[in-house]
Amino acid sequence: MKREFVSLKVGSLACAVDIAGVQEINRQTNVTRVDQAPPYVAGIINLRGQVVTVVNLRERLGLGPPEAGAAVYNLLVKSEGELIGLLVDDVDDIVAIDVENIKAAPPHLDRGLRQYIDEVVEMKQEVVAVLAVDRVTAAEDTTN
Amino acid sequence: MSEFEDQDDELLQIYFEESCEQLDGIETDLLAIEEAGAEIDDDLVNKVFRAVHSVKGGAGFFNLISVRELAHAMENVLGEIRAHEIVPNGTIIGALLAGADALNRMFEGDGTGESEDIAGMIAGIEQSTGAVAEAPPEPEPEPAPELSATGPLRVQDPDDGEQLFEVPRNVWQAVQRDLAGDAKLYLLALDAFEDLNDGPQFIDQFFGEVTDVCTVLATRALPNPAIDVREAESLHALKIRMLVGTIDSPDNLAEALGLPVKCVVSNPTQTVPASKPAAPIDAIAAPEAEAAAPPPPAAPKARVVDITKNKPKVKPAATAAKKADRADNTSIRVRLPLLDRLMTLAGELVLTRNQLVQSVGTNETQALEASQRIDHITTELQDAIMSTRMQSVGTVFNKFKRIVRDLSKQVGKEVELIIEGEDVELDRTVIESIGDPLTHLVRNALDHGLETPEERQAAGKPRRGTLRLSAAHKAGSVLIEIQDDGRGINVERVRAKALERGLFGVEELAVMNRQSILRLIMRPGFSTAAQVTDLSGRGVGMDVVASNMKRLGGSIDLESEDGQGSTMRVKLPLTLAIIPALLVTEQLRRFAIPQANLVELHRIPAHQISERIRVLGDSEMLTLRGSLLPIMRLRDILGMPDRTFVDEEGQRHPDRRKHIGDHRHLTGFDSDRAISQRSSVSSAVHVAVVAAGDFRYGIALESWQETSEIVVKPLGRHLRDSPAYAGATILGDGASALILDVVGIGRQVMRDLGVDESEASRVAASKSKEFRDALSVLLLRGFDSDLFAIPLELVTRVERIDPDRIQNVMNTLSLRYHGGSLPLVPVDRLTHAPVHIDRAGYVVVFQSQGFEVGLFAADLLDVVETSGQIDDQTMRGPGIFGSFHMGEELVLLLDVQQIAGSALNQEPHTVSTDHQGASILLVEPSGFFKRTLTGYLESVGFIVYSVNTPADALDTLQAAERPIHAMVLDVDEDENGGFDLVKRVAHELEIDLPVVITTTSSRSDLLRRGEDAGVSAFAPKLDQQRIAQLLQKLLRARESGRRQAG
Repeated sequence: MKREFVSLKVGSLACAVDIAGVQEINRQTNVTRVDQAPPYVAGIINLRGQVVTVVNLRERLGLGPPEAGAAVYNLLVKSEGELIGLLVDDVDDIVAIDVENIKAAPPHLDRGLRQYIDEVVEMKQEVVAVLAVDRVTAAEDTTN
Repeated sequence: MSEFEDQDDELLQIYFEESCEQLDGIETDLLAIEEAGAEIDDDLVNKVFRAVHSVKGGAGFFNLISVRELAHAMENVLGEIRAHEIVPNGTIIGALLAGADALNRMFEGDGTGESEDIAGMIAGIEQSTGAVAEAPPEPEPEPAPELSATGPLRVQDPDDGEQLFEVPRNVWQAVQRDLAGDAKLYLLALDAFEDLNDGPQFIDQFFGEVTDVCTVLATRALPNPAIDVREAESLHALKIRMLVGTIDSPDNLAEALGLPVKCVVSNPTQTVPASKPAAPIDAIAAPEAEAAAPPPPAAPKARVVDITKNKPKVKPAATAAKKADRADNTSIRVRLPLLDRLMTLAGELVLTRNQLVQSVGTNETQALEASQRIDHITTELQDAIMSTRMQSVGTVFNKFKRIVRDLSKQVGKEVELIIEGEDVELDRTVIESIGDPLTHLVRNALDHGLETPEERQAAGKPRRGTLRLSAAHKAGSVLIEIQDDGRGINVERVRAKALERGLFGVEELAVMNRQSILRLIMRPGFSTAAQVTDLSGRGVGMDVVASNMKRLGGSIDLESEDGQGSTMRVKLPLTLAIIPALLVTEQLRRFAIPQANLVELHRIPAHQISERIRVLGDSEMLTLRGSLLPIMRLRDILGMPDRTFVDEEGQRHPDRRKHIGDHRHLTGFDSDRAISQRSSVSSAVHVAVVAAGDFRYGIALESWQETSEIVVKPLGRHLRDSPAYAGATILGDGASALILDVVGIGRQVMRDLGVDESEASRVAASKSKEFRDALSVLLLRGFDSDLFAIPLELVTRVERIDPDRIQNVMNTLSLRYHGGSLPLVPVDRLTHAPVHIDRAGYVVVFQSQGFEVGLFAADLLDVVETSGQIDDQTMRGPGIFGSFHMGEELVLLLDVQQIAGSALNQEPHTVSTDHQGASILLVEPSGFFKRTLTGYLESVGFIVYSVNTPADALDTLQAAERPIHAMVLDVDEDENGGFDLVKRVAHELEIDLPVVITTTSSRSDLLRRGEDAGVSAFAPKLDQQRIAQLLQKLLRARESGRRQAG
């Protein structure tokens, strides 16, 4: 039994997202900024008539602002019934991983990151964090 | 089994939904039946009977015992009414209504009615017929203990002896009771492919027929081994087994269903005596099953459609989700012709798209044509889709028949409910949201507004109170009125209460007019339960109603006459999904401001900024017609990062301008080095004046663009709670933009100003006088994009029309309109622009000399107030009265009288000038109307003195400095002391003065009250010739009267 993941880069961090939650990957980055929004919200886009909130993953994962000219992809995931865009720096590949090779995240992960990562997988001899989609798209900070 | 569960659940949902709809209708019908009493309307009773019957039938199908039993009891009573055996009265209908309510509740739940006292309900229904009813039509149900001892019915398949069904005994007994004892049990055993007359594709229809002619106990569909396995996946290739009960003979049943006789198996359990079905079946039943509580295992070789299973119990989670769906009313019924039209349009769109794709870059003419067609098609498509969302307000209104009936009984009052305009259509989101607020208003009117019959009699009113609910289209909105003829609201008590609650001081209350005081009851904090009796309870929750209406983009106003009754007026937008909005720009980003919140736009040129924008402490204010309006920069509201600019050396500097007024003197920088962006900003300030309820404030912006109809899209969970945004939209170029929440921002502005809401509205209230002189105009846009305005007072109706309703005979246009024909004048004709009658647009209807005339325009923009600075020289021409500026645009004010005259081919009235020197006192608050009428009257030889208010008029007459021969008095629906003036002139000053009332109101009571006060004549406002003629006639009559007397 295998699970498929999209491997991607957020800054220098290699991570992956379970493909089951991914609806679409595009390069639509003409995001309309929203003032007074939480800092990790990059803004909104028009996705074929639907207004979709876009989350800046770098900001969310506490990895600092993007470098100028970084290639940006928009990964559209469905979470709690809502379509949400995730801005990432690069999308590599789709990789099928045997379930027995999916491991619980090691406890020594950075505290800021820990809350978004439950599992890690090994891809191309590299340990890659699997992002918990529901948590990176959660809206708990909106009150600030 | 699982793959059928969804489908099965879906069936149950459809049944629930349909049943709710059926029941929706019967409430109104039952009330009508009660009304009719002994004059039984057989059609109506039949209709209700059928509705209940079909609810019952479905309940049998789904094994919802409680529903079926209750429906059955109701059906019996209805049957007796239908047979004219009993006369429906309040008790019977009450019991039936209670039954319908219980059914509704069950359908809102899981259909089992676990929390309902069904037995009590049934007893109530049965007893309601009282002595009138003869012997109960059905045999006494057999005692329960005996039944449970007998176990379920079992039926085997005639083909292979496989066990097909196991039906609880009480289900069969209920069916028997249902069918009045003669029920026979049959097994329908058929092969969908061979035995159905119309072939398997009509299988749904077949199921429908079965439920019509008999009661279904259980159904199964089995794969047919004779048919290829792959085909067997389809429902059509199944063997169908249905266990049904009916009183028909097998032959009749087969005929009714169009089945071969062989398909109807009598006595499927081999012996089923009609009167005592239980025992023999047991005898055949497999020996093991007596105690078997769980349902039988599925047939081993077969896939089973087990429709009889009571799904709600099996899948509580799924049902709960569906239930929530139902509560939200996520489904909508669309009329087939409309759907057809949508399909056609979608097809057209695809074709045209193909054409466009082919021709781009190769055939420019074709591409142009295609793009024009796409333009038309999408407009029509949008209209059609919009109309799928429209529902008549009657769906809400009709609920009140019941509420009024029940409540009036409860409080011991006699009420006649009059419903008008129930066909007026509103977006369903609006329809759904107005139910509760309206219920509140109706309850208030009934509970506190209307008096008891005795009190009414004592007050010389008819015992029976009247409650009028009406809806009408008005100027692109819907106006709903709730009017009662009860005791009205005592203004003095409201005033006293406001004082007591410390909301206002004595002086403030003293200067407030009646209307402002009445409005106080809609303020939060004004009312608590303790004041119910003090204030006839009108205040209870009124603030909630008002804020609900505001949330819907509507407004509420009220009018009340002590002892005469009250009227609540609710104004609502037609739709919430698509709204007109102004697009504005700030720091290169675009935002939309809903037109509904927009009051006016001001562009303040650079040289006026220092005098018009004042800095008071931390806040900035705009001087506007003599008062100050708080303004805030959009970038500050949204906390946009400070503007920076780059100087010539490439250094980035923050913009240090703190206030809007500051930038005109570039302190700290050499003005020569300021870059273009700054200087362009410094040229003018744009302020959008918006209204959040009573509170008006200005939003300072960089610039504004056009108004357009925008589609409101909800924001996602991260942004939904932001107070500054009401949603988002997608602009013409595909980019997304945020819609500003004027109410939310208003709160922030108020907080920043350090005022609380009451203070803000107090400021607003004291200012309202100032707007009196302003003229409210409706802005129209022609197809050639010229802007026109028509005084709002003159507009009777506004409607969106399709071009196919316009008739063109020899260049004379008319509109098919309410069965008649309406002369139509395209506004573009007045500017000699090309006239387009091939596009959809708006017709603005106004009245002139008793005739209606329509103006045809591309778009309605807004209602705005002009400050009365109308230039009646420059642009004056046929049909154009004058012009004024709005922002940077020139608006042409229409001369409706002239337009009507030429459209109706009327000869101008001849007004002689033999009354030289007669002095007329004109009482008219609006500067525009005052000038118009004065100009005309002077042109025909009158001398005109004009004043603003009746009070001023009284002063003028009292001073008696100059002789006044007649008075022309403007009176609107509020009347504003006009009639009082007439009375006082006659009685206190003892002057015999002919009075002509000009009004736009057509309310008959206004005319009556005017006549009572001694008014000589009425004329429609702006019908100058008529006014002049009337004055002439009256003056002549008085002259000859004098001569005779002398």
